[in-house]
Amino acid sequence: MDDMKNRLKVLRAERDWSQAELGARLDVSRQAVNAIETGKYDPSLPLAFRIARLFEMPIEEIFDDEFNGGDHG
Amino acid sequence: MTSSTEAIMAETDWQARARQRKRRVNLVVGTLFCIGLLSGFLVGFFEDEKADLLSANSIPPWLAVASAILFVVATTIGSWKLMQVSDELERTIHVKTTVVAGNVMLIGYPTWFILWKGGIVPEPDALWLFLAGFAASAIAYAWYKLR
Repeated sequence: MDDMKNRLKVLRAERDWSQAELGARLDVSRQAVNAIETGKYDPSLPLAFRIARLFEMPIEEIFDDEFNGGDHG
Repeated sequence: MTSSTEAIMAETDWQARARQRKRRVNLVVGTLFCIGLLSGFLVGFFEDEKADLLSANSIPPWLAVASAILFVVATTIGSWKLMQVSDELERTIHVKTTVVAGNVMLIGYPTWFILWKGGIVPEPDALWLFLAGFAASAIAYAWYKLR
């Protein structure tokens, strides 16, 4: 299975949120946030959209499937 | 309202939501546990004292029917409620562990059956197959949660 990389940990740290706090804002558990950050779990499309809306960024600026070698520019 | 007060309120809000999420899950799991405990207590109370665990006809038929109905209803509604209160990671893990348990039983029985046909092993036993599926489910759950 292809690994999906993401910037969730960085974005969370920029806002000084804990994993539990981000989880509560997204209506998921702290474990789910941790699993997404560490690449053990790829979020569903609805959750990816919730994350994008929360950080006010396009999904592809948060998640990178490395389909184009990680270059989306 | 000062910004620090707002920050404290916001923090309380997300912490309350996290607690509420945990409470919902604990309520469903706790209810299922209590139903299982009650069912086990009733079976133990009415069971023939001379009978061992695997003896047939050791509890009254009404209790057997009531326990079977209670088990089916509780696990069906309980699983449905648990899926509602769990987040998507937990739901995914539940689905994966169910698939693992199902595969252990679906592959285990024919394998055991063909070995039995060859006279190598005793006849397939439903209880052992169930226990194998249950153990596989528990191991898979632990692996997906702790990896």
